[in-house]
Amino acid sequence: MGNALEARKLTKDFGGAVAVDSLDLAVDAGEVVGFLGPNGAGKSTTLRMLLGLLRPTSGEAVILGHHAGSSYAREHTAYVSGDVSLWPQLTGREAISFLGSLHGSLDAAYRDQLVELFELDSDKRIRAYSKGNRQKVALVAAFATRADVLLLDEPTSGLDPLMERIFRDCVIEAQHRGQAVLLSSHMIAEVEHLCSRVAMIRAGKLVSVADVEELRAHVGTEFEITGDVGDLRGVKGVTSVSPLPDGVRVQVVGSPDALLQALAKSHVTSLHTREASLEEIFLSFYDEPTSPS
Amino acid sequence: MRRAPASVHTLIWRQIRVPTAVIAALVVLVVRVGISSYSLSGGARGMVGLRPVIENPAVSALYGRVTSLPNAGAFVEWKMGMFVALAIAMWSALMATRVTRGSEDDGTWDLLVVSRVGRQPALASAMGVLFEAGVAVGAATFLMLVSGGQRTGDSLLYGLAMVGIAWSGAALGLLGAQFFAPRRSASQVALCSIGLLFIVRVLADGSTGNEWLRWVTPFGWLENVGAFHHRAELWLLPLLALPIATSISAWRLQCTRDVGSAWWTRADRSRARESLLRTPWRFAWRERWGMLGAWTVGLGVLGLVVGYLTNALVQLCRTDPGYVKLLKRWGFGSMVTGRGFIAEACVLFAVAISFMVAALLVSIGTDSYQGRLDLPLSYGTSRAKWLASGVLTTVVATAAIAMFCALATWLGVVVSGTTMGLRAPLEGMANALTMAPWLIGVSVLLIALTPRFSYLVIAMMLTVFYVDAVLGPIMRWPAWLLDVSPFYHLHLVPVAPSNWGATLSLTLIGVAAGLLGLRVFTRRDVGH
Repeated sequence: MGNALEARKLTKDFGGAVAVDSLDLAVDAGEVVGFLGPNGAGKSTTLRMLLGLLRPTSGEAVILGHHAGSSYAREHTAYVSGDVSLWPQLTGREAISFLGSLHGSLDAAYRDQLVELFELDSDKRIRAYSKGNRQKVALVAAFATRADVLLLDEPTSGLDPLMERIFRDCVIEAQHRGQAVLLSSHMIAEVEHLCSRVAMIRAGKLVSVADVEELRAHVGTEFEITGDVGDLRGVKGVTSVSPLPDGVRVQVVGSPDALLQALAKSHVTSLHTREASLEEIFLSFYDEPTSPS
Repeated sequence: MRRAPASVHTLIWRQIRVPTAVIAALVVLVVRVGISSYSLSGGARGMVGLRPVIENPAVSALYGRVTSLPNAGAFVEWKMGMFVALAIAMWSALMATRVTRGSEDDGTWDLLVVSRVGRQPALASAMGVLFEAGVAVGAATFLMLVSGGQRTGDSLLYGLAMVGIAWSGAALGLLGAQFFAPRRSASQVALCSIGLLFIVRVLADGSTGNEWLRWVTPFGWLENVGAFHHRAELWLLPLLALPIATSISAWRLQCTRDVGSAWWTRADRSRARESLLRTPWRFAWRERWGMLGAWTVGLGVLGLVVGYLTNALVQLCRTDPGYVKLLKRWGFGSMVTGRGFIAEACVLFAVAISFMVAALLVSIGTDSYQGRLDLPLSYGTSRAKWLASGVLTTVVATAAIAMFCALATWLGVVVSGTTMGLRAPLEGMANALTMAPWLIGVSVLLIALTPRFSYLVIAMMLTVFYVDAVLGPIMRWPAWLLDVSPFYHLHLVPVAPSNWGATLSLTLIGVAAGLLGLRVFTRRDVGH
């Protein structure tokens, strides 16, 4: 499948402050890509350029082969922001209907199903909604349009865990329908659960785009070994060794062959392996100091 | 009760310092112009001929009752005082709802009340800032009068009366903020209350036997103070004490309700009405229909009142040649006939319609900087279509409301007993609309360039241009300064032909500005 959305050397400079710097990113149809980064890293700015709301200083944002912000791109995109702002006098149902009308199509049956699933009281006016309920309005509208590209910027902020689960189901259904999803989130568990690939951004620069498994390989696998294992420092692939009361904890990047050969000569009573969580991967990226460039 | 720290006081001041500086500058300008106009008109001797005018019931209703204008201070108090007071009260009410209900709406009030500052000291601090701002405006009035050669005691009394007016507006704003949410509703109720209190004063001065009505409105108390006429200092007491008492009531009311809530709440549920939601063009109507209703009623009532005044003015001109002479000297010679009066009134309507056009258009800018355009622009509609829908709605609504206003004016004329065809007000109003293309184009450009401040800039621009067109010829300002004002180029239709040359020039400027605005709006970053 081809790229549903693509950022090519995308750059945004707000009068000397570079928010996004030469960012390259692509999301295929039927793919869910997570977009992680600390506050102010440039996630929302990137998404707003992909929506055509911000003009890139240089580079290009492309949706389904069309320039972001073009009528074709807009007709095939739906967006949910982390802080939904709508007309306070409209009811939830009216707001969904209005956004559906602008998009050109709205799956009415699916909308009704989503309203029920998200337990949204759609006859209430926007001004009476909590943040979470305003978020639900935007989510219902976005999913009910069945848009080819979904750009979701902190979409579950304000939602309770039950609603987060409904949201995950909706994203999975969208993925199965072939919709492309770019999910910017601070909820690492959510990204880990939904995304096949993760893009990480720091200070406007993309520091990594990879499968979750590849990222794990970057951080490595943790071995907890009990027994008399001797000194494992210097063994190929071992990046760190820390003592435990009755053994050692070893971090290995790449193949563990060399470690296993070294252990074959030792007296091992137990051996446990644990893969790094996405949170640990995330922290490993952001704990590193920013490069001087 | 513990006092709020000085930082809270400073923070609240920061929210209102610019509008306070603007209103103080406006008051200074108006007082300065009033003093200059008085001396240019020959001072006290020149005012003798004005006696029939100031005693006319219609004029009294608008400006207040006086018997003579012995000095420039008295002239300022009579000719400008009521409308300056109205502007000050409205500004003060808007500032009050901004620092109270506005802060509750955006959640910043929560931060204050949950901190060690607490709820009661926070509101007391806001009230203190509003009262200080009122004192600042009163001081500006006082200093301008004294520097213009007026007696210190009289000027001080008038300055204090203006402080009372500012405090009255603030008190109504504070009270409105307790009963209504969001801020827009609280502001609307406060402004309507001020309008009502002004009308009560108009009724008191415009008819005999109702003078007691002046006792129930701050505008009546201001008139009763008569700083440059009869000096009744006692009336300062209600003018200053009642706003304080009302503010304390608002303060107590706030302590008995939930933060973020209001005493009066509208139904938060409604059945979906989707017919006006299908296109940006339909939605542009839906978004503005409340505003359109208010402007239709307001301009309709204004038209009726102006139309009704026609007969009184024409009769006065027939019976008093001195008055006709005076009107001619002041550049209002055409007002001696009914058609001439309507022509002059239509220039005034052009000002009101201009403010309406600006109010209808700036919601495009407000939607942009408040983030409401993010979703519609991401869901298929284009910026050009959104802008065009807003502009087209404004054009159609303005034309319809202007014609309704013309009809209301004609009805007023007919009811007053003057014979006049409907064509005269229709032509006059159509002429007033010739400014619209210029205003729409310039407004679109300003909305594109600075969505957050567009209404402030447009309102200031219209005020300056109108003052320029009215006072410029009297004060013999240079020709180029008069030429920049579009109001100056409005001919007095139907007694004079339309100024087609100026209309064409203004339209071309409007089209150029509008196209440039469209280009900027479609290329700028949304939400910045």
